[in-house]
Amino acid sequence: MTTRLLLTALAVGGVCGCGDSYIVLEIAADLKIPDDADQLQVTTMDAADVTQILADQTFTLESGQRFPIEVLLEPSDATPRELRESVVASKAGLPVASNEVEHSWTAGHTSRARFALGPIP
Amino acid sequence: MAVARALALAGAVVLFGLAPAAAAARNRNLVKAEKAYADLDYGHVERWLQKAQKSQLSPEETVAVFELYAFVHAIYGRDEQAREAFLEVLKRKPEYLLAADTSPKLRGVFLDAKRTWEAQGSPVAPAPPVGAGADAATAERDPDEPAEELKLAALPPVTVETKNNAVPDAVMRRNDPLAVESVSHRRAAPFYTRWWFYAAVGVVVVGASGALVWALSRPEPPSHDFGPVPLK
Repeated sequence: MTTRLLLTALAVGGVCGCGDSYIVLEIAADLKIPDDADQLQVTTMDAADVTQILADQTFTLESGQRFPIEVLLEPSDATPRELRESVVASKAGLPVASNEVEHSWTAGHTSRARFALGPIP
Repeated sequence: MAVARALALAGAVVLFGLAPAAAAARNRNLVKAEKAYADLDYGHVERWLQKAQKSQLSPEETVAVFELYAFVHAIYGRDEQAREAFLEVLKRKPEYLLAADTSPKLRGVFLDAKRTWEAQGSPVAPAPPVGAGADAATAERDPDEPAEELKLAALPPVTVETKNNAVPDAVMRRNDPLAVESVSHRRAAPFYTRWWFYAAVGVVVVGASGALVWALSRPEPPSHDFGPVPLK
């Protein structure tokens, strides 16, 4: 009986073992919130074709928050495996720091991309 | 006048009194055999006839026994035995004739027997011993009294017998041309008694369990400050 239950669990696990995929962007910056930065814009693109924008969101930074800021992305089955992130921190609408990084992610796992914002060139 | 009335009353008493007595005097097992035959219960006909043979029979009853044997044998397709029984009937009652509405099958067997009987020179069975006639038939019967040897020897054997001398029902039905054919009204077994139903239920249960396990075991998303942001 136990064997049957195990086999059933394995079968069920095998069918549904796909799990969820997440991407966590750990964005570091030498900035104080909200004195130095009050907004964070994150744009995700296909690394192979940067004209393909997969997401573009602006978050309001509030007092009490501190860098590094973690932004959670949820890729779909159609999301390219290689991504380019463009992150811009701004204060009163003016960019104060930014960075562009490329990273990959793995289906069924939580992938992390750690990078820091630097001065705008 | 009073004497005439008394005589009439006495006559009535005698008449009404004797009629049931005469009816009761007829061999009880033979009566049962005749009733079973009328009810198309041929297996019991043979059984009652065998019991009737064990008691003393009048010539008329003997004829009736052979006649019933002949009918039952013919009905079961045991034509040779039916012929022998008819021969015994004819030996005891040469003027014997079948009823007008007798089936062609029975009539054919009887005519066969009659031809044989005539070819044998129309033999007649020896007269029953003294005391075994019509007078004896009305007398009290001892069921345990042995039957006449002649009658027993002449009676055709029953081919299908069990320990109780009962013909098995299956044999009865197979041989009985008058038996109503059994019509199968068997309904299909309910779906819930079929294997595929339980297989389907099993698949559904396993699927539902899997979905439940998957939904419940879905990992919490990692900690974050913003998001989740769905990607195309």
